[in-house]
Amino acid sequence: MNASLISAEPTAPIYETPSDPESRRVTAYRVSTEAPQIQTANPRREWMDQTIERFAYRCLPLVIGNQLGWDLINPTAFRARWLGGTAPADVQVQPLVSGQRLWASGHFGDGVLTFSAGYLFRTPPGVNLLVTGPLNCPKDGIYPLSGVVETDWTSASFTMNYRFTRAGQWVDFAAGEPFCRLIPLSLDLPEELVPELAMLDDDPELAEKFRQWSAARDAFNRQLDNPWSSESKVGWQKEYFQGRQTAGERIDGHRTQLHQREFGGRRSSPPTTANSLPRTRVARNDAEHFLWRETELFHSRQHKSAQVLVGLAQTLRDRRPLAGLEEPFLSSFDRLLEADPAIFTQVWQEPRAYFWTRMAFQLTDAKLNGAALSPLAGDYVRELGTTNIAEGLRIHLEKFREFELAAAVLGGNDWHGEQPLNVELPWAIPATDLAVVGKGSCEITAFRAGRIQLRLNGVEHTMPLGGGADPLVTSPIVEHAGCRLRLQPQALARLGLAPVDAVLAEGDGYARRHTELLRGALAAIEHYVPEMFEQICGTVRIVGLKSSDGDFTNVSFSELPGAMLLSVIDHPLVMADRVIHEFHHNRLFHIEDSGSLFAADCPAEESYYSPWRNDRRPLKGVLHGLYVYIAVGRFWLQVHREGGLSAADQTLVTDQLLRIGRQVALARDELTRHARFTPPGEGLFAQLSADVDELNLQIAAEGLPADAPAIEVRDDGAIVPQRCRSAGEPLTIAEAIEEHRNAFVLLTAK
Amino acid sequence: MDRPLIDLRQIAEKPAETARVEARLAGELEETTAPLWGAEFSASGGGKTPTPPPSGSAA
Repeated sequence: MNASLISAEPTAPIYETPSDPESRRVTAYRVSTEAPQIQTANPRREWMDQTIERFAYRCLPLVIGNQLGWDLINPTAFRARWLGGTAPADVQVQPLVSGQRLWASGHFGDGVLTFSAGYLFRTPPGVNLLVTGPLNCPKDGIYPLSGVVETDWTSASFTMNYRFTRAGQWVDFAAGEPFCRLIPLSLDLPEELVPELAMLDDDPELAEKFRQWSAARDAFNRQLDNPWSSESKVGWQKEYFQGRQTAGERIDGHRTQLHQREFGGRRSSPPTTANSLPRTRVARNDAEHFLWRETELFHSRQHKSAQVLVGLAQTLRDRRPLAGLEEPFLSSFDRLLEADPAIFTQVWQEPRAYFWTRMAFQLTDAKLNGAALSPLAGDYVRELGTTNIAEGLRIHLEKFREFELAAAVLGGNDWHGEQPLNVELPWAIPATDLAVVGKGSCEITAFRAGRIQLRLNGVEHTMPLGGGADPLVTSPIVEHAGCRLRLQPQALARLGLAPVDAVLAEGDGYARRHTELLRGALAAIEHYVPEMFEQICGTVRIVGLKSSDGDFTNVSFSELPGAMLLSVIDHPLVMADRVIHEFHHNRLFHIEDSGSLFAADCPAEESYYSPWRNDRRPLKGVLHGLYVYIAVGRFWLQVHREGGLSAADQTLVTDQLLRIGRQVALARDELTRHARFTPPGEGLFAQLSADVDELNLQIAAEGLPADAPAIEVRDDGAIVPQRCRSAGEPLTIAEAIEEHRNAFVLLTAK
Repeated sequence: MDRPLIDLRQIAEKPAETARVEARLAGELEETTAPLWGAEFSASGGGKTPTPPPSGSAA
């Protein structure tokens, strides 16, 4: 064989490298168009960097072990967890960036996580590959399994496997992180070596060298305690590192680093910086797409809430925390299981469906496990008229039947409950244009032949859909270019959300008077930022309108995806700004739902500066502001680029661009100073930071006057100068920003 | 922007789809180690503001 082994000759080199380059070739054949990157192993380890004075790197065997062989690199960030069972499905794998391909799965079961290697390796005869995890790279919760593959003959590819060490713990694998180490070796070697036992003195020369080394080491260690000694200053003996015997004799062939070839032919050079090990972060291009254009996250959040619904039903069926009172829900759930998926998907796009799921989960968790309710869940239970968890859960489960009714109405199927469906007015049939107006309780008894039967104040009503007469009314609808928004605050009523009350108080008449304004806003969005328009069409379902009346509050809720409350300003461009603004809050909620952006040790108190608020804010609020105003800034930029504006609108756009450019930079600075992010959060923030710079570059290219006046828009759409709060003088935008910042400094000083 | 359909029956037939939810409700997993969703948050304005920025006050 070419890679000849000379056995039982311990004094001679046991492996002779073939001189023929072809006989030394290791080939990695890609088995598909996509395969993980493969590179020479990196000697650096983050934990070694963090040892005092990077002391761990003085251990040369460790350093050589780190870089021995080649690593396969994980292409996409994900996390994995073992649920404790033996089935492959008991290993869960989730991408940290939605929509990316996963390279690992629970293929084998028994708590084993399996990576695809992506290559078939061919080594010279007699040379095999030890396949293991990156050496000296411990990972909490999971352990790399090792195997030797006879790659000199097999035509099969292999997988890299890890075994979880405990159930329930998520383990992250970052993009760019090595997941598999390949070390060439010969299986002949351990078989052909001749092991023997002996006393050290049987080899007098070796024994003498050992004693010299041992004495020198003892003497050195004794001097380490003396802070003034040369040994203490040096800190370590370097003989082994430098390849010297204690007596000074140098050893040929000693290595302090390995010069292995990269696949592709190039010899590797050792990394020059301490931080060259890939850090866990989302690649910038991925982050840009994920932040602004990824639409799969809308679906995945909805799908997850459906998973929670099914898991919840299963748990309630198994555990019966309400001793049978959960039965109406379970029956309703079973019927909805049979619904056409197209109809169910339509129903489940209702913002209230997501809200229902989160509340049902929390109440069940509280009843079964004593978990504390969130502030919103607490408000919601009180809204249900009880403080008792079990009673709150019973009433809440009863409300699930609203979704069954909605599916019947949308599918044109008859529906009648064993018991009437009790609802508190005002109320809307989920995912439909229909609302029941009025006050007090109402019983929905049936939906038959296209007519709703209900009992209100003791009076029976049988009402056709779309009849438009009280109490069953059709909500105002705004439509533009395929986008359809329901002005239906009744769908958000009685959820424990105080801001909804102001919208309900305005009534449908107010909403109807402003449908044209909102349609104009949608038209502006479609015209200037069509990609945003497309996303808004696909996700926003319900808008609540209220008069500003000095209260400019616009609201989005993390628990109500696809819903927003807006204060009316009679100006289509300003309303477009607000829709874009609230939509991006919604979008960021979706992003946050795929994993926390802030690290566990990030300050949570409400004490930070937001350039858009007069009060102190949590860092999460500042991040939301930064995100949504970058989007709003991009909108105004497009408006300005197209031109053709009236003088008043030109003043408005100039104000917005110069104002937002400064504000996002301030918000970015506040987050840079105070926030601590998770690895994915760090990647997304880096992208946002780049977006701030890009936005300001583009704004600067518009050539706007630096001393442009600051303006405000009144409720009626009129544009008026913004004045200094103390002296009443008109402000420039720079002065307005400065005044706001100074007001915060004064607020914090109080 | 077309979205895939949600097939409730299909979810119900695959235990892996709901294992995490059931494990959480069985008290076998902590929300902190296995978060199901993002933190509760209302992105809202702070009520009446005497000098509202034109882009709303919801941040």
